[in-house]
Amino acid sequence: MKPDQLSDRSAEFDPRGEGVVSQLKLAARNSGRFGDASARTPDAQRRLRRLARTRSAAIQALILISIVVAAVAFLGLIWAGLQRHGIGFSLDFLDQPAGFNLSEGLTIAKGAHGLTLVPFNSQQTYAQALLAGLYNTLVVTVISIALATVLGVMVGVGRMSGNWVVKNWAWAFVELVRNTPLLIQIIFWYFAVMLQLPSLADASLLHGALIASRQGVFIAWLAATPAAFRYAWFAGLAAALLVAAVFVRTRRWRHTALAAAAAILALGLAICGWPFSVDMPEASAFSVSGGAGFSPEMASLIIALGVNFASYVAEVVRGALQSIDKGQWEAAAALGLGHREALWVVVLPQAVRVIIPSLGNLYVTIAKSTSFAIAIGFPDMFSVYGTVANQTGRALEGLILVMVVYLLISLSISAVVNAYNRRVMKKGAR
Amino acid sequence: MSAMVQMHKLNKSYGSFHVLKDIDLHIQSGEVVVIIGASGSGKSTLIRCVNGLEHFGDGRLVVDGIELMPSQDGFGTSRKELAEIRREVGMVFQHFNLFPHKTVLENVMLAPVRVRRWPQARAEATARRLLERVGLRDHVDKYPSQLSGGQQQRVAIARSLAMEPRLMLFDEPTSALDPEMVGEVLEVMRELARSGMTMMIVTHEMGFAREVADRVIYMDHGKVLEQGQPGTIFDHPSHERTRAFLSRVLTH
Amino acid sequence: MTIAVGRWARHNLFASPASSLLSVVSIPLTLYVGFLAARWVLFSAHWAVVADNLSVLLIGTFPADQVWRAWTAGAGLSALFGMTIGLMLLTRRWKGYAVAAALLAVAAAVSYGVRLQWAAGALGCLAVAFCACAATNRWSWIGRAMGIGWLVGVGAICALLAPAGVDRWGGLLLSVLVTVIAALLSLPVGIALAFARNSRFASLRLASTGYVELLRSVPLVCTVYWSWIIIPLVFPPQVHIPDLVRGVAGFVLFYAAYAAEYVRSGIQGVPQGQGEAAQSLGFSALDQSFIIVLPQALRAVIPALVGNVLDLFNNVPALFIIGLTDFLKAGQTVLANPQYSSAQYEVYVFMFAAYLVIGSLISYGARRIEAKMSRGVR
Repeated sequence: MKPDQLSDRSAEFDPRGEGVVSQLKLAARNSGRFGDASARTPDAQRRLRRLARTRSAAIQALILISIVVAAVAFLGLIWAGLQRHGIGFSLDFLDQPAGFNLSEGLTIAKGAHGLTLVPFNSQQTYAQALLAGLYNTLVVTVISIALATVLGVMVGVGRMSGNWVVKNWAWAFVELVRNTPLLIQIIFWYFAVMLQLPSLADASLLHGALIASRQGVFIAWLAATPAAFRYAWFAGLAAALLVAAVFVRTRRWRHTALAAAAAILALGLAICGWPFSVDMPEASAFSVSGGAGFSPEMASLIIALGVNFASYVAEVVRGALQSIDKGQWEAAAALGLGHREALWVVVLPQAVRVIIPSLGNLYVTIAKSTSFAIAIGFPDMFSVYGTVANQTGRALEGLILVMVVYLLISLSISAVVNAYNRRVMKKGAR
Repeated sequence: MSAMVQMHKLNKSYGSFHVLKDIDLHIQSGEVVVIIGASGSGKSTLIRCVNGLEHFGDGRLVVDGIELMPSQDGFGTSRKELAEIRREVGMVFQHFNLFPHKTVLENVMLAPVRVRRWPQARAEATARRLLERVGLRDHVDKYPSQLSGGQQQRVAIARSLAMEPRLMLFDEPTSALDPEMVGEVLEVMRELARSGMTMMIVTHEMGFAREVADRVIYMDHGKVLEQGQPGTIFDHPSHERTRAFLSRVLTH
Repeated sequence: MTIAVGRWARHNLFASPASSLLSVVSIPLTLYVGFLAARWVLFSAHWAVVADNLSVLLIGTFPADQVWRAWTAGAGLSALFGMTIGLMLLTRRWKGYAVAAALLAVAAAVSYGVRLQWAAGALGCLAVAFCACAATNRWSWIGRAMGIGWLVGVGAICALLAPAGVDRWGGLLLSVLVTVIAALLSLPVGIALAFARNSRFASLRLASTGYVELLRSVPLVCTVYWSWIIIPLVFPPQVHIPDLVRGVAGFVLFYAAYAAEYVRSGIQGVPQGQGEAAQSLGFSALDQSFIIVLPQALRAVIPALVGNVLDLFNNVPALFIIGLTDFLKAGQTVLANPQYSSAQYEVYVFMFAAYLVIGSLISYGARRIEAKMSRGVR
């Protein structure tokens, strides 16, 4: 403001005639409103900044204190409640003998040479019971994840198929499975499928390689012969060559490594004999010996989880395929590549990078959904906890333990998927 | 000299929008035809009909002796015949559409190996020869994201040439490039024209068109308004709208 | 006409040898399975089981003399749903189909043995929903008041049903109520968590992230069971908190974490420029969050949030671990009765169909919302 302007307006804004000082104050106030901090003196600026920082720090401290206070109060209330009900809080129950049996599950026990995996029996402790439940949970989780991924990719690709029947079957499958509760599907597979299978006596399929019966599903598995021990050396060498082949850059060396690995395996067979023999399940009236078996509960849980989450995987795959730029399809078509080749060679590899992060979330959800097993009497970790809580009354302690274990499982799955995701992102050099 | 592309009363509509109106066109083998026109005039749609990426509603279209059938819903030509056409007709897109997860060499080799079933060695040799021809010998193991726009487009041209096509379609090949890279792509196209390839080019590069084209076609609102020698079209256009378009485009 | 069908078939069913093989195998198979299923549904199944036990399936152990409360609650819910649907759809276009489908369904039900009063009640609820939908189309102020409308409406319905005994609620009514209450309560908590996650105070960020990650790593049944155990410990013994309230609390805690994640991704999707524009206009940080960013974030993730509600509805059966009888458990209760225990397939197919219809409607709604939103953006 020019000096003459100042004096012109002084009468207006300065009725008490304090003159230039008030004009400057007015100017400062006006500039301040438009964010022009340079109108203020450096001291004032510093003071304002310090004030803002202190205010922020104070709020930060206040929030932290209130969170801590709330947490402590909450825990205090719980403790008081436990005392009131005469329960208390202790983990001693873990060492007490369980006194109940589980229909399946391996647990860790001290054997002759240290820790081994043994089937659970009622003399073992509650801790070992929970471990057996954990084993069941992990087995179901891993197999269901594999099944859901394979089936889901097939259905997801089928959704984009050129064949109208395939496309609509895939659509119907996804809609049917996604819009209905998982629990009803688990019950369906258990009551309506597994328990309706024939009994052991007349349940043999595929020349005895597969027995699908009411008492469980049994498949032929491999058993190690005495030759296996010596064969292990050959197998180890071949494995080392295969790992080297993955890291070698030139195609010719990679082929050489693969050929050498195959030759070593063949040589090993010639010298040692077959390391594995096929173990066929032999069904007697009430039980099966040999082969690998799944109880009806485990089988139905695995199938239900695999089928249910396949629909989610299929949607992720479909979304990823649709997100790929149309130009990629057009370029592939213009080059003469057929629909299926364009899909598998050009579009799907690009879609994988979009798919993997979402898969991580789905896998964690699969691990958590195994807890529905309690509805069909499968002894997963949560179901075993239920029995333990009933018998010992230590519901809260057991639940906290179980929740911590689920947390660890989820974090592990996420960590593995994230690591794989990082590797995929790096490889594309994008 | 046989007719590479024959169109007779070709019509196409997107719903109520009539995008191609009664197109009559004959392109001989070895001819270089440049199609110019305002955006929305249907030029891209026209050349995309030639290799079946767009289907047309009415009329006759014969490409390399194979007749494409009209259809409103895409069920016209059988997949077998489309595949035959696309083996002999190459296309270069405005946005290159290189496969980002494969190296430059793999991009060029992919189609000959999978579609023409060449052995790897022959495909690789051809690919290297073509990449050398477009000036990218030192970039064969790079990924598309590591190349500039002009380099990517040249790879795209090499990729189409690897199939040894009889006809090459170019859909505004330089429109997405920064100005300094346009020249290197045009140089490749110039050399290709000189070598006798039949080409249909949609472009805004008028200087290039004048130099390289055997025939220039001006399209306006879905019709072929005027066609002729480049000298005639650019210097003495007979239609008012052609004059208006050229004056708009050539002033800057 | 035949030529067109032939060409369609050639393109869609027999385009390649592999495709032709698939078609030749799957079409007869599909037709055969469809025929068997239709024959079972229409002729062999004993739907009388479902018809006789409809009250158990729909309202569980609700006292029979207070059924009018349940009907009123049903009508209230229908009205609320109708108003919500009216926000998204115009009745004009599908009015005919909806009325025809409803009448057909009710006629079929009556022919299979459903008592007339149930059929009349169902028709009444559908009519209420339809009128609410039409009313929302006509008077737009109804649509704007939906937020408050839901809260007040649900509160009124709970108050109406409470005197019959909260522990007696059950069946489909319970499933729907739990879904609605948990969804309504988990959304604000989720929004608060999402903003806390992006706050400038590290302690808030840490607390929010910790909560969300913890709740997303733990199964729903654990959360429900945990709150079922903890809540009575926290409150003095004179206060009796019903099982249902504890269960719903568990649901709210769990689904708030998921809602927080969706809202957070929505917030991240709002362009940076929005916040900057708000700042230069002089908005305070709080205003900026709630008036500028939040509405846009919510609009972007409404389809995902609707999917979350569907997931909630499908997981309500988890309440069985604390002894509540939702729709699925009600079905199992019916089958536990030795008189009806042979009708496994009928009861389960009925429940499956009910869930499928409701789930498909919700999914369809989410897709319609998504389509409508993207049209607006463009």
